[in-house]
Amino acid sequence: MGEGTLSKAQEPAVRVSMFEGLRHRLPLETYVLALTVLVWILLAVFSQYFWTTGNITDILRQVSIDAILAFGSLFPIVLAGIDLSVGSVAGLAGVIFSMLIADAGQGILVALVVTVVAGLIIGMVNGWASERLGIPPFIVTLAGLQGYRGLALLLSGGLTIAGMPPGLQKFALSSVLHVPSLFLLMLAFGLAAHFLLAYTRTGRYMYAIGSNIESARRVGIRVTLVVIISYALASLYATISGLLLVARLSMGAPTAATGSELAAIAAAVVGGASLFGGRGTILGCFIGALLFTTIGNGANLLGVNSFWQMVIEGLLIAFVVYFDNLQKRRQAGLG
Amino acid sequence: MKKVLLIAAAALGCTVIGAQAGDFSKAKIDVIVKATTSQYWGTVFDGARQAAKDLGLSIATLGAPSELDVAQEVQILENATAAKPTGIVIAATNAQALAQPVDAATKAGIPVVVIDSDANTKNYVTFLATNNETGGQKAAIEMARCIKARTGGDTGKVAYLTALAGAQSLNDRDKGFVEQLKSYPGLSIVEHRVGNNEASRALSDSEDLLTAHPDLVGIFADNELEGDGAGTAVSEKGLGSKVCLVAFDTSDQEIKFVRSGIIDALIVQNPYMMGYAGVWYALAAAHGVVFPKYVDTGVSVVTKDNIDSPQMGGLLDPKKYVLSPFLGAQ
Amino acid sequence: MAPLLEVEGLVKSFGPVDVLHGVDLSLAAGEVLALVGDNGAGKSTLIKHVAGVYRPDAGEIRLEGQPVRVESPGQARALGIETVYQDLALADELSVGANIFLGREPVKHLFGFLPIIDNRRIRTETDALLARIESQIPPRARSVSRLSGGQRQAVSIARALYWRAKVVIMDEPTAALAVMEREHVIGLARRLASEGVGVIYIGHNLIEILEVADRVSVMYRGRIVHIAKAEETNQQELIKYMTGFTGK
Repeated sequence: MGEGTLSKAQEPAVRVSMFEGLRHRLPLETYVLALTVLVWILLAVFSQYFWTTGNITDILRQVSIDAILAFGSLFPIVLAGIDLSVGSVAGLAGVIFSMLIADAGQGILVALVVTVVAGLIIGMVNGWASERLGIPPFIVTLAGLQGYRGLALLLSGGLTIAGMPPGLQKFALSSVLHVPSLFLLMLAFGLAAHFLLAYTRTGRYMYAIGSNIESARRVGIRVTLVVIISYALASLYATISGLLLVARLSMGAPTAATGSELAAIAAAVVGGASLFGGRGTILGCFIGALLFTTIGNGANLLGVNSFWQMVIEGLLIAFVVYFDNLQKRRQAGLG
Repeated sequence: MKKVLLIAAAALGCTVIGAQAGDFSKAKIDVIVKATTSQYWGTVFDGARQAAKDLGLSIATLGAPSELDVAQEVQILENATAAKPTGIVIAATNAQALAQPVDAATKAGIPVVVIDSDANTKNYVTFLATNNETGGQKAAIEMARCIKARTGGDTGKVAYLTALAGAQSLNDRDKGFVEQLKSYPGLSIVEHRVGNNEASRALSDSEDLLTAHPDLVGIFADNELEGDGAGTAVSEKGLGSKVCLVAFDTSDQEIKFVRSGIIDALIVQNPYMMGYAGVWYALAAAHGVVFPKYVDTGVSVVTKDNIDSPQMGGLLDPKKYVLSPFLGAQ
Repeated sequence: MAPLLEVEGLVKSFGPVDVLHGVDLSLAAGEVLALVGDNGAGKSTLIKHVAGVYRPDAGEIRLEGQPVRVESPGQARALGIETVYQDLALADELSVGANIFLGREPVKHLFGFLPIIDNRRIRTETDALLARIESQIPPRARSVSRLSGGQRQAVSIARALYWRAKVVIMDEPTAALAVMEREHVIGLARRLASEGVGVIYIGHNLIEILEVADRVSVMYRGRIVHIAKAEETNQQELIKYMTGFTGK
């Protein structure tokens, strides 16, 4: 195919490139968004309660915390790494935060700062260990998945921590112009992450490292620094979602966000991120998280058996990844 | 009659042990629970520690962090068996999986007291537990009572939330609830959700239930994390005076919800006593005392009206508990 | 005037294995110097010193007459030495423009303080650059992974050209290419030389070498054993030196 392109005159080549451009403007996110909209329409048809202010508000609140976790886990995925510890970090952050308030009598601000710093340190250690020590990130963060959850259980003695100031839950339930504050907060964190990935050098270097770490080194990119930043961001976002869980339930639970690292990774992958690195967008993550939340909400509204719901989610992941591969193969054949 | 038998057995244990009081400093009892992560099991540990203090023996408090981790509990029990403690107190996460390891421990000459959830074997000293099915039945009775008080009638839609699939004690609670509810023909179960033992999931599920069924009059949550989540949803939606919420166990959050009228009744087990009596019974068994195969530690119902009464004080706050190995005597 | 690049007395051992025994080389601006030799003759080791991957045990590298220490690939780039690798050079998932500017992105300031990549400038410069080298690369291709091997080499070469590299090392640039694409890459190598760049061209195909190079140096067992002008030598002679059958 390449030979043919080269031997052709200039004009047809340009036409080919325009055709390619069109295909490129329809990335996986588009199809997943279409699927989400389709599910919304179906639910609106089959459940009279789906398209009500109350339910939409619930969905917006439910998706917010999951989406923030998914945003964070995207950074390492872009690097061709992975962070399995985000759920445990969220749990640990919630425990540290609520214990500082309930047991140590600290104010919200102090508790917030301490927790965020702790989260950042955890992330930097993850990044440093996987890059400098050469331990695969899967292993480093698997250790974190276990270790940080253990730490959360140890600190809390395995018990839930009540006694949060009522203002915290009031914030989690508040709305600005009928849009839940949690959702607005999620949008803000999403925009910040999108800005970083799409418009800054650091973000571009994440994609470069995920595409080809060797070439990134050869053009003089400070790979270690970028890797550490990326894992630190994953932990930071996990910490934020852990804090929001505390606010939402008005309690710290050492088991909070158990298993949600996989949901976060699934949202990113369904949203078009590649576990082989170099690909993935914040918009995609959001759509992926929204699709999973919608399915959960729909299953509850329609009374679909909880176990069927899990099967459906599994099939969805398999289908989207297969579809993505199919697309790529077809494009490679054309290209 | 059963009660008499219990008291007799316990008293026998008491005399045997009493005769040798002070000799137990070398005795060591391993207490293995289903999950070290819930307040409920923390209370079991507290009871066991108190017994250890009273008897002057030492205990080890063990368990996997999650109730999902059956394999780890099996491993903990096997390791404990190998170390030959004076006795073992264990709550079986899965009746089938723990059957063989409990057999093995008994065969190795270690008295095993099973608490809270049974193992599928009879080779142990005794099974010391809440009758979960009875607890479920009580939940249904409380729900019917609450609905009657609210609406003046006995009809309406009801939903229930299971914290986790495949746990025997939860299945028993649900079974008791569902069976008992059948005696109120006006009450129909319209929905059943299974969570992953996590409060935020329980919250989302409950919110959606309340959306899908605006005419829902009752929710039953079968453990404390489900109770926390369901309570948060009912309170968020301002439905405390409309929906009858009945939940199991007593987390701090649940107690707050009872006081604020969000949760109408809590079905409270006696985990403190399970831990306390478990250690007692294990030690007594090591000295040859024989116990009946099953001892019911009972369930109580906590409502806004009785939450501050002295009888409930011990259940809600173990520090106020009047201790006695004589089960059923208090 | 001093030659563009000089290598003098370069010695390198890996443990007990001596790979380079005092190599001398000189490259003029605007010249394509081919480097041939059997596998293990030391070609790759030699150029990796120039590219900043290895550091010599002894010897000197001079750029425009000045001794330089090339201690990292980044430093080599800063000095104006670019390497076009067989396949390692490009970040597959990035666009053509992002690859050309990788590590040296132009930055503008949003609201006067937020540094962001100037994507518009990257696009216009890339379009102009690709037009200049008359490449058939779709300039807006979202990721270079869709490009053919020759197109990818062209992106690497365009990158060297854009950043005004003084020395470009091409390490077997045509090894994995179809015949038509070889011609294109060879054309680009000549193009670089015509713009005043010194090109070191490593290859196995002697017909191709004689077509692209001004001079050919032959390496044999860690030494340069023969240097000749392309028009004054032929395949037989080169093979004789490459295999060591020189009658000595």
